[in-house]
Amino acid sequence: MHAKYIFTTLIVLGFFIGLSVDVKAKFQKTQDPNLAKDSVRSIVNKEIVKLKTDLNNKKSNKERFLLLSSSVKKINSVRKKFTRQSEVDENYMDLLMAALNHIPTEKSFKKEDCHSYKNALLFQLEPLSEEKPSEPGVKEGFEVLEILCK
Amino acid sequence: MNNKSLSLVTAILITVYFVYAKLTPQTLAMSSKSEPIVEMIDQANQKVQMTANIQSEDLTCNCKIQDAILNQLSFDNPIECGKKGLDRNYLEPQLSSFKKSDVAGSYYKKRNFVSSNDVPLKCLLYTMKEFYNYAERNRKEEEERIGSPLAELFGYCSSEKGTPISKFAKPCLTEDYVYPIYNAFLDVTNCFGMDQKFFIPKILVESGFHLNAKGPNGDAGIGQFTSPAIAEANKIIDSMSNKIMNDKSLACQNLANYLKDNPNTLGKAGKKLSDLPQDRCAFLTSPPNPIRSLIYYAAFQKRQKDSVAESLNSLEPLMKKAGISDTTKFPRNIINDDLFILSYNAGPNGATVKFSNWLKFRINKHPKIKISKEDFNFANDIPDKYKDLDPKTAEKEPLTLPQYLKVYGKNYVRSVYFQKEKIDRNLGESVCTQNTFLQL
Repeated sequence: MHAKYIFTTLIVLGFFIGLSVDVKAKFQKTQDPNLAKDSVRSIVNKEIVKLKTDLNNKKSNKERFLLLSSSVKKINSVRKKFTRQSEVDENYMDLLMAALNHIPTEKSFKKEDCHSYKNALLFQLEPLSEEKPSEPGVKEGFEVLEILCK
Repeated sequence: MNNKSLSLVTAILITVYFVYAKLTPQTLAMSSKSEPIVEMIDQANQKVQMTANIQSEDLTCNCKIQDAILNQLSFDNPIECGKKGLDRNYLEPQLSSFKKSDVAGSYYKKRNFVSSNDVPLKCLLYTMKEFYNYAERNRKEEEERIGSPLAELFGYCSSEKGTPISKFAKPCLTEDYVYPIYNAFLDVTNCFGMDQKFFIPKILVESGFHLNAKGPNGDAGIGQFTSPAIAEANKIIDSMSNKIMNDKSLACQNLANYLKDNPNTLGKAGKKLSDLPQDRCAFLTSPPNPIRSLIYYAAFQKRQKDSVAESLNSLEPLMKKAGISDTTKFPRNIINDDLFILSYNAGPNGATVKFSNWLKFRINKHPKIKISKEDFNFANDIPDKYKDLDPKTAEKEPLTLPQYLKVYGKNYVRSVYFQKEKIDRNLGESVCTQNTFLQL
């Protein structure tokens, strides 16, 4: 009886310790940049891939801009949960967010002005690029604008 | 002396004064209207400056250009430029047309005066020559890096329409080529209050002042214009044009005269110049270049500088957190200049993203090491250990701003600073560049 009690306690304890380590690694601010490096950037990238697919599937402008703002909120929220990532990743994600922030709001967005939106975004983030940016973070954000302009 | 004699002496003195100063009672009466008097004094000052500076061109230098040691810069001989099977004087027909378009004769030839406040001609001549080395070296390095050939450094357009075709030969630096660019550079910078010495090393890295410089992405002309750059300049080109037309300074008046004689210089009948790549030749052909490209360059630089300043303002809380809120110790205008130069290829917002990331990096990853003036010093060589540093391991070091930009961004600011040092070595300290360029 006593051995059974100890065994059960150990299993329950093991379960909670395991769970807490997992939660720590995933959701708490971590001091180890290498541990969090792949997770934050990959979460952000997955969100952008999903956003692009969803934008392509929606036709209503209102719905598209709602998706965009929801993704921006999600990315900001994920980034806040973690400590500073590697400098390569922070620069990538900041440029991506800067590019998304240069997309006009739904109210001011007009498809006929897309040429000037693209130019304005490039001017702010990669003025030597003629039509498409090459910096990975800027490129991702620019592609979102391109889908909205389709 | 009695009162009567005193009055007589005073009257004589006043008469002598009028005779010598050639002032009549009528001109004296005008002093109640202060503006004409101020204008007269301005014009007189300009005339004095003009006559005081009539002298032969100083082209002395202590230069090493393409392994040749020179103590005197010189123009290229147009006949020599046609030899060796390469016609380097291919812009000559366009430069002849420019002469005709310059009805007032303010640009195409050597001026009888140059203000002592202006940079000497040798600054431009050196920059044009040195650009060949700088750009060619960079192009070769880039070709090695990407493993495929890049387009030539120069382009050619036979008319304002179309995209420039690649040209192997570098332009022949004749007097007809150099003077219009030099004179236009002086007028544009003076008219818009731009510091010539700030722009010399910057332009050396961008286009070397060459009318037909051509970058790998379609960027072309003195301003290395791309679609975003032209579109941005177009936003303020009308106000730039108004300034030229209404400003009474000699520099603006010279430009205004050219624009009056060539009304399509900044666009046809109120229509802005096209920013599309297929119309890029408009920024290479002469006439109206170099006048058009330099005015557009001024407009684009203003947009970039203002935009950087705006973004930098939003970083004040972060700068405070990083311990650099003291603006006397960390002058914002110099930080602004650093980011303004960086924005050439990173963009104004991109430059501030890099800067804010550097601040956050120091705050979060090296909190015990206080940021000092030395952290902004572009004059220091990047230590060898940082040159090929793996970005992942580099962050263990408390990198300075130049080092951080080298590892995680563009090394552009350091390149411009390197050229400033080289210009100083060749032409003398601060002759062509700012004494405190990028120094906090």
